Amino acid sequence: MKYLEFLKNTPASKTARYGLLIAMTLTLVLAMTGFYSVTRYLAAMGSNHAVGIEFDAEGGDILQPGGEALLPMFDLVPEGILTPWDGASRVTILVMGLDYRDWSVGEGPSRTDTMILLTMDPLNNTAGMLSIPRDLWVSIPGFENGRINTAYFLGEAYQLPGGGPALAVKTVEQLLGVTINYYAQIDFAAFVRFIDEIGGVKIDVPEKIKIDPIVGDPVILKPERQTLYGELALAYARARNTEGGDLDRASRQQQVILGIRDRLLSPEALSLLITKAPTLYNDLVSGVRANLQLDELIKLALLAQQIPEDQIVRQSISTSAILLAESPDEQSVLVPIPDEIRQIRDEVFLASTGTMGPLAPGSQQERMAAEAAKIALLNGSLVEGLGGRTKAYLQSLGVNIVEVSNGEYTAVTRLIDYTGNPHTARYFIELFGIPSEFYVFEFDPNRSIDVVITLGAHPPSFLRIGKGRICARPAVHPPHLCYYDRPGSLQEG
Amino acid sequence: MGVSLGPVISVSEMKKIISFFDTLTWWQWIILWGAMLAVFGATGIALGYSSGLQERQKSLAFARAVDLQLQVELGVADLDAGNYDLARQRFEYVLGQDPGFPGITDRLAETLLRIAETSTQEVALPTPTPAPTPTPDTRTIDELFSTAQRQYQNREWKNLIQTISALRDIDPLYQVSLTDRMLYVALRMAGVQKILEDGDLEGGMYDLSLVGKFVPLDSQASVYREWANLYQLGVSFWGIFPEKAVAYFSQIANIAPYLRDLSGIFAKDRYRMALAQYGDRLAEQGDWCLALEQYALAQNLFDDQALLPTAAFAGEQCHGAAPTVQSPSPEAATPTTTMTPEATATQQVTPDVVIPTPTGTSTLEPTPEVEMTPTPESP
Repeated sequence: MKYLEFLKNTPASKTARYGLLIAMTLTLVLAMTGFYSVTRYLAAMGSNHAVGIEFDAEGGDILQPGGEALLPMFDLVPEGILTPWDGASRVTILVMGLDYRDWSVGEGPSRTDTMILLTMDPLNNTAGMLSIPRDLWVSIPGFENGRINTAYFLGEAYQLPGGGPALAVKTVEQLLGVTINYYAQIDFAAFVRFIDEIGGVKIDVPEKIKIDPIVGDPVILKPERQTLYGELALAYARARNTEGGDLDRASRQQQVILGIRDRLLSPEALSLLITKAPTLYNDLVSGVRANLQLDELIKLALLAQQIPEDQIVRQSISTSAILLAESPDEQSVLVPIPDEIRQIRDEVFLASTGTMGPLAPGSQQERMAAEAAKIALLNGSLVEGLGGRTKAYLQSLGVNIVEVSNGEYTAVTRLIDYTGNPHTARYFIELFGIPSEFYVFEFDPNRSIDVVITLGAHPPSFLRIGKGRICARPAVHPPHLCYYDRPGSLQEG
Repeated sequence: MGVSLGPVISVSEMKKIISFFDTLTWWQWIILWGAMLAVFGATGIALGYSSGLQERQKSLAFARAVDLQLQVELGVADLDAGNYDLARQRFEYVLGQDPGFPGITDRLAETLLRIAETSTQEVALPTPTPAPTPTPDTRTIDELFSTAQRQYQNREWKNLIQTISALRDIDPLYQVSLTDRMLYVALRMAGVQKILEDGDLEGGMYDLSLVGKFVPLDSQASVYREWANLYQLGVSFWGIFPEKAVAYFSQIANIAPYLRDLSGIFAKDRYRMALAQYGDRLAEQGDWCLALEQYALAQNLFDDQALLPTAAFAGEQCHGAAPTVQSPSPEAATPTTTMTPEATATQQVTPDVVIPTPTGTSTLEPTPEVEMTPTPESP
């Protein structure tokens, strides 16, 4: 008050006094508004979307858990249910669409209609999409075997930790053996609005197809590149009435995902995203449920932007990997053939192994040499002098042979790796044609010898052993190397 | 000195300041106001951010507490309803989230005890693992490498995989020959560990597929992989083609009877249960003698009292004896196993949704009904 009194009595002009007062008041008001807005925003992010328990708008009363009335965009799934992404290695997301029949009834939880696994490898800038058919007969954690589309329903109905998304994720993880970091579940209305807001998606329709939008009359799409807006894009993704049935449908759904990606990466997308940000945000908040934080979403979007389309593997669990059958309740189900499914999984996930594969540069021989494994060579062939001659030959190739002696008789050459030398093992397996049953890994890091190779009576396929000489087959080692049984006699033949 | 306005500014100084403002033109006022706005606005936002974070933490803590309480209450309901596997999942989850949650250890112990008491099958019980941290790894590459070496020495294979992945995220070629070796060993050992110890058969096989990128799988790991594959084949046919499930589980029960998947059911018990399921299927088809063979095989593996009436009835049918009035009908005597999934949740269910029943109790007993408890309004 003293200051105000002083200001009032000061000889300065009214403009200065009141200007200063107004400016300070406005500034304080705006600062307080900023303070309040940020506080409420951050608090709401925490309260409305925590652990699948839904609160009312004030963050007070708890709404019915598992209910579909409020679908928060960012679920904060409790730690330990999903494996968090470290931000740099492979990331995998389960995208789910709910069953329209359940969703439109709006009573109780839904089943999933669509499940697509998206994976990205930032190290190699590759990605993959794997569609999982809804009728796949799988083991659902905590329940008897059932169709995979019921996993989400069960998680919601039984209010399991993490709800439907977490059980769906666990079921898919158990089916494929891969780790899933995120899920995103989008409802029909949000999908339609989103596609409309981004100006539709461009799709190469491969064949004439009749689609039946939820709103409006059926439409026949000609086989050509065309822009599909919300309702039609959804109908196109949901259509089943082509020869390939669910498999064609999976392919169309992947097409739509790629169409969205292309649309968002197009040059005009940035201005569009900025101008429509509030609308898009509202669409997403109302119709998308995901355990992604905004920063993670941005990171993923930037990552997706860097991956060229030809580096995106598209796969689905196809007819070769399933058997048609009937469930005990007489519904059609697809019984998975695990071996076949693994092959499909590996095409998507092991096309590039990122940080989870071998990264040492160079040829196999160079990688073997870099490992510098200490190798003992045992002669189990009963061919006199084979150990010595092979040693000389292998040393010429840069192999670190530290011991040669006679070993127990063996018909086939064997290799035992004690300390983990994958490049050395691979080199010799290929060089000597060692069958997998004769390659043994016996982990003992305290051994002084890393690898023991026992030469068998049947000479390695790449070697031709003559009287007093040993030669490499040219197909394996381009120089026609021969070692003659006299000092310093390694020669090119 | 005149009137003192406090310890900070004297009157003369204040006059100078006011005089200064008096000299400002309108655009200087705007610049000044902009600067003030920037300073105060930034301060307000920063304080708001800090306060918001605190509120968020409070909200999260509250929500988590509610969630844990809810899971405990649902777990108790599951326990009472005989859905032991669901109860176990919930209690393990609560224990993983908050090991100090009142009474959670006792509840989990009670669940495990109930499983052991009521189940005719032996169930291997997984140990709850602590939740992985979502915090990005901020260690330097040298620290990560030292950690990796320590984990390698201590044979902490799963942690080692994470560490090497984090290290390679920073520099893929750092000590690449060594990290290749460590990762190969870690994947190979973790893969086998998942198959033999954790019951994570598919996860183990995936790790071994990654091993195959380094070098073809060694002989022992190939064997373990094949075991896991046989088990998974049996599981994929479970409840649909019981004869195929019998064929696969008979093999795996012979060579690795204690192999299990994440359900915790050993291969030998799967074999016995598959035999009973196959018997049920044959009985449904009227092939009583073959059904009896399956029941007899199952009984040989484990003396299951619940199966006896069914087997006896199959025996009577097979040998042509007319069943007495008191004899159990096939429907009554036949175990429900996976044959009759029931919608057991009391909340509204879309009419054509068929819900698989929860596991956890003996599958040779009727499936218990689940009474869903009302959601608590407050923690």
